Amino acid sequence: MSHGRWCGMCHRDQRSMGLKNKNNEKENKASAKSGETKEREELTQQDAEPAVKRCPQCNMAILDAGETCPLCHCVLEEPDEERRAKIHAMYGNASPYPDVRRKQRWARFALRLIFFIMFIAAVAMLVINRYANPGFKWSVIAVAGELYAYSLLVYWVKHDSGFAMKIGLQLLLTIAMLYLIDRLTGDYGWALQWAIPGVILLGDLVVFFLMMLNRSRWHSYLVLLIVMGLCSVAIVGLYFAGLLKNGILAMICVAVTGLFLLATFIFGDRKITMELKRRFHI
Amino acid sequence: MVQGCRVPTDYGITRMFYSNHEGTVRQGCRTPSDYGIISSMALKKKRKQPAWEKLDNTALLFPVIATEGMSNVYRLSACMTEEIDPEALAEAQEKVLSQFLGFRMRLRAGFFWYYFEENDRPLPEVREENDFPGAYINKSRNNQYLFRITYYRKRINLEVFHALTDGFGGLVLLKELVYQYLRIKHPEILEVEKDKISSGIFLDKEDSYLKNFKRAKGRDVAYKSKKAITLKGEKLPKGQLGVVHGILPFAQLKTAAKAHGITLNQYLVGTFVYAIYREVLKGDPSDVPINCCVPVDLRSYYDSHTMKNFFAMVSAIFKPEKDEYSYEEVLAIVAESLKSQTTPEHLNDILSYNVSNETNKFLRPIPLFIKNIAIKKVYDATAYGTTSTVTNVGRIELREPYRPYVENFYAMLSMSKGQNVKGAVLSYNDKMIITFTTILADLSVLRRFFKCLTADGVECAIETNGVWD
Repeated sequence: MSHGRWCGMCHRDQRSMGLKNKNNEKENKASAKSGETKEREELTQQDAEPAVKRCPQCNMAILDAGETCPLCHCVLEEPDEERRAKIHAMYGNASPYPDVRRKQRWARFALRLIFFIMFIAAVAMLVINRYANPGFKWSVIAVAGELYAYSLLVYWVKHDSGFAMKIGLQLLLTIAMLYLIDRLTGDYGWALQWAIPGVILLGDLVVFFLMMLNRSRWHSYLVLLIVMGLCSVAIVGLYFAGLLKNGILAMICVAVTGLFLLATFIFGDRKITMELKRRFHI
Repeated sequence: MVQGCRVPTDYGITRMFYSNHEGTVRQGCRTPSDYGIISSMALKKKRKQPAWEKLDNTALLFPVIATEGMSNVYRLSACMTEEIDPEALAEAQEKVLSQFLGFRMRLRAGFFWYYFEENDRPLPEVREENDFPGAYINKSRNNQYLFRITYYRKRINLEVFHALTDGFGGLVLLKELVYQYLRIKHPEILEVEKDKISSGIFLDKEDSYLKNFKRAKGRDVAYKSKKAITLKGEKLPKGQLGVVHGILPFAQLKTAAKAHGITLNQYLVGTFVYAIYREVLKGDPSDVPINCCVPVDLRSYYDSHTMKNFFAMVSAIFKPEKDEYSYEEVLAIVAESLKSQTTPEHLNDILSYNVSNETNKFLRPIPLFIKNIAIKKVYDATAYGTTSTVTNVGRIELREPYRPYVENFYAMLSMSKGQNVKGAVLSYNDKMIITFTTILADLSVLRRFFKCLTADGVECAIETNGVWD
């Protein structure tokens, strides 16, 4: 409904009922409530008088609202009423586009702001570490952690892979990160003996909850579970190869993940068979 | 391979019966004697396993190369005569999509291949347009769907990730969406129309590439990695896409093409190539050709009605070897180049070449991540062999009760590596609309293109998305 029509209606009603001022107040309140509606009405009003111009240089009708030709930047001329009606009949109404450039700018700004803050924090940590505690390079671990967190943020925000894929990748990255920290801080073996099996057990728990929450698609987490199973088997393998002193948690990890997988296969029945068929079709 | 059998119904509608890979009919599928369209909601309830299918031959490429800057998403729009009601549009989406299982799919990665799996999440929200046309479809923010429906004022936009289907399939869905929307908004239409999807449309989802694949007899049509002219210049800010619609009277265009003794398609592509020749090469000879790709719908050549991708690319090649070719000469060369390639034999050679790798028994068991690396390498090596792409989606016909409510249709393509300008053509009523999408700030090629048409007596109207303001 066009703004013009509303105004016409209001004007007629106001005159007949003598409530011009009151109605105006109401109108003002309504328009203050919804700036969007006002904007839309303005746009609709533009539609009532379509932006039909002519480029004298290109000799073409231009349906844009601008004052210059988008192709040659020549200032456009206003056609007379007859010509305008002819153009309108020939080509129809303009189909304008929203200005989406602002949205783009905000999204990019937000990510850059986070990066900037993280960069300042990293420099600050390196400086503090250098002067306060030069013997132990804790700031390197902190900066690596920051980089890891930022990459994950970008990955989670920008990448469009599914939950299972994101969790799987995060799990593998966390395992790699813990292992590196252990190596950098004296290689005591705590990562492989305790932290990494702990992460896998946590992963089992997360997958269990995801399967419960997402019951119609629980089978989609099967591959993630298989990856966790392989990781835990690898850690136990390291224990049997004599590379780990304590393998208790790794054993628990294999047992829990193995049982989980077994239960999935037994209870999943045909759903699991089909999921494997889909995943491994050649 | 996609399993399915077609059963023509009384209404002329081909229905799919989804079967699993043992070839048995899935639970929930009806018998051929049940006429009418199966409600997918009913199917959903009955099916214990989600439907799934392999990607068609062309679709295999798109998930590998799709990025934010190269989305491989195309847009089809319908411009109505009145403002869009988002609630009615959402209702129309719900009703129509229930019939189009091919669009209700999510993309999943297997160990050897990608595949589509039925998506039971709620359909993506119908939103007001808030991004550039053909923007990347972030699956995780779109309930894993590979299409989206947006609106802006009087326009309905359907954006589709090319892995799902080509322009033919997209257009079938858009038309049904428009019909359904109008039936909701204007119930008086129901006096002459039934409230269901059109009879006569095909919901066939066979992989027509595999079905029609015949080994080529020694003819080499392999994609060349030779470079072609690239349209370069100052670019628009990152993430922005410029749109230029050219609205052209169909009759005038036909007369102009006829005057040159060529078809309409050849005329438009030839004029575009000439514009590139004049504006980029300045009429000079060149060692590298102008190579304009033109997708050819293979359905008419192979009697296919598939809703999946089924097209082949031919190239309008123009290599200027002397100074100052005339407009007529360029049109003739381009027309001949296109004519020589759009023969059934040549199209069969292209199809065979494309499918041969997919069917190779040594390549099939290679893990997906290795295949992806190889596909990307091949794509990167051949990407700069194309200057641009101009596609003709075809003529859009609406049924009489709906026609007064729809003013225009538009088609537009997203950018590809090495191709900074692309064109998409369609015709509706007495107009032909060519839409150029570009990331270049300079529009001299397009200016030249429209000037040539105007000089041939075609009265053009131009409309843009305002990024050059």
